[in-house]
Amino acid sequence: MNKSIISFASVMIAGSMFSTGCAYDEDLVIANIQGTVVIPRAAATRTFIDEEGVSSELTDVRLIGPVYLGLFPSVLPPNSGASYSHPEVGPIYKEDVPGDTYPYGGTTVGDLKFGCFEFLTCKIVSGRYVDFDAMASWFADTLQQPILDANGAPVTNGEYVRQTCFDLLEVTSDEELLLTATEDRNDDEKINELDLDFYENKDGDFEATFRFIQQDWYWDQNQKDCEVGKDCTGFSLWGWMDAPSTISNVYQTCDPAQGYEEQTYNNDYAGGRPHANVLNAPSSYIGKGDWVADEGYVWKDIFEQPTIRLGFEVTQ
Amino acid sequence: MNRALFIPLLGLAAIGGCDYTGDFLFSGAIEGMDPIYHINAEDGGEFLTPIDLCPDSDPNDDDPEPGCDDNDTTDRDLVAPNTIYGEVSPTGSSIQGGITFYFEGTGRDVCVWIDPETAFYSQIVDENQSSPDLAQYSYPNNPYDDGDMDLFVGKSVYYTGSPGEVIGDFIVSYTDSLGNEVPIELSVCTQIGYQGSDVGAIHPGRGTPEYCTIFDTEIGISYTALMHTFSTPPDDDRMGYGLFLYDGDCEDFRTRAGGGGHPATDECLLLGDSIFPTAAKGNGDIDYGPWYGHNGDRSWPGSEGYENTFCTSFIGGDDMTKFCQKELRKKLEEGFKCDWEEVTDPNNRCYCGDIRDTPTGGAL
Repeated sequence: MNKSIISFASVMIAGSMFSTGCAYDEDLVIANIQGTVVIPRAAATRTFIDEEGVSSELTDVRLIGPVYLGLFPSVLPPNSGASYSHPEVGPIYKEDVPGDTYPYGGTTVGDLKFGCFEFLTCKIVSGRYVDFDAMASWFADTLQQPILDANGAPVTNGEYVRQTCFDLLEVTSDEELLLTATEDRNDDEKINELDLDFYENKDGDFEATFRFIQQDWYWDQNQKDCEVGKDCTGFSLWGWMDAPSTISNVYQTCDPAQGYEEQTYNNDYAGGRPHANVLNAPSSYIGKGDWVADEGYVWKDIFEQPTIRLGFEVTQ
Repeated sequence: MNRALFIPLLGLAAIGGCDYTGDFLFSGAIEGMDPIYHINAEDGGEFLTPIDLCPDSDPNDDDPEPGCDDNDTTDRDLVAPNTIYGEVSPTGSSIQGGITFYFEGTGRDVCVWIDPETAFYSQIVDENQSSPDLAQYSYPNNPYDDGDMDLFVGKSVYYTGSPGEVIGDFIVSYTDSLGNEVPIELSVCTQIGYQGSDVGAIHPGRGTPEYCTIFDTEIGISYTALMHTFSTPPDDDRMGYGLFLYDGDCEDFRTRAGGGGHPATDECLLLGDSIFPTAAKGNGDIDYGPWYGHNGDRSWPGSEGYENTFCTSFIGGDDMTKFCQKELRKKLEEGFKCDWEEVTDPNNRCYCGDIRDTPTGGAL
């Protein structure tokens, strides 16, 4: 064989060895996945009794608390450890400490937010108020528990809430606060209640879009003859809505000792934030009045856009 | 060599070159000193016993409770004789090294407290020296005499290592219903960082004591503590340490052992962790402990004074800068010099750094 051909072949072989070493497929399947979460009308309805003992029923998105959604290996049906459906749990290592659910991922529809007054710690969720007047009037007129400022004076003016937020958090726009509707989500050139997280559907229930950003795809490792991301059994979607306390209007999933810290003059408090393990130990936070998924949704096709209904009311 | 043959051989050599261990990047092992070993009790027993600093001396008390409560009197003199000291070598490779010991659960809290050699601080470079608390650290520290140990504690059943042979961890694997492996950390030794518990457990850096409380230990259950060798002192690669097992929680130990409850004084609770190289045992092995009880002769001369100055300076004691100036002056008077990066003569070991390393304005 010609010497130059041998030499060329040798270089190609050596080169191919190097290039093979670099071609490592991590076999990762990552995607933005989304779907719809439905809250029954009853979950957004509360009966109020006025001073004269007259009761009235009110349905309002402001009664919808933060919705926590997670992706789990599987979901057990009601009465399989809890009265409601519940993700499978790992080993229990300590008595009285629930096993960890080890979620693959999670998201929320509406976040617990600091409402710029100590009074509002653990009482505010994003995506529920059209504007600051809607926030102030909700507490003052509907709940009959007006926002109180640092001096204990009632706050009924939304603009005062807004300016307090700008001052405390050193921001200059509503978009930075994420407390009110600021985006024309339905492109009707108006910012109104239709631009909140939840909107009323044709059945009278409330629904919203949820998204898991850059979610790693997990599937059944023992399943044969299936295509990952298409028809292999994948993780299960499950979640619940944390309803506000009917007395204090705070959320059980909120830790009032953490979050934003305010220490000026006569103010010394924390603004609250979600507990770190709401998806790892959901049973520690789910209580009476909350609404849990009827069942888990088993994902198979990465392009599916499922609907999950939080239709089970926890009554005990 | 034939060129046609040379090129593929070169390629193979390049691939083979990827299979290196990287051992040259690690500190060399000390011959005759173990990098991995297990500590038994002084009487040879399997378990170390948590020390009660409040032995009940009331003869009228028919049912004395172990451990300290608010009414008990602390016997601080029990700390030194019950502290365990030793040294450890690097492994000389990427293999992990460290020391393990067992203790049994008491049904109460148990504090594990370790103090690696020696003490470390960052030099202040603020030219205004505005804070008197910081100004005393304007003299540089010697960073070559400090080692770093990381502490882990958990139930022995979860420990994956082989005591005295192979270092492990407390991470067990759980397989979920989809067949995916989930690693679960079961070390119960949680150390709180500067920013609080919400940022997760931490391990302090070189020369700094590590400690954690194992709350409500289960009676009769074996616990394993791992003192993982993170780094050994660069000057001699031998890391000394002190170890104390307290029958109670660590905050209580800090208060009762003499620190007055101030975290800055942690370095003073176990003094003498900078161990002077000891003569060979006779069979060629180095005597590296463990030694049960404090013996000042075992420490590097001056090291305890350095530790004392370091921690008491925070609470109005001697000034660290003055200590360092005095150390340098003494060396010069005695005709010695400071060795930092490598100790060629034990008399040349200095605990303070090289003042010439102090940054000047605009140097940063």
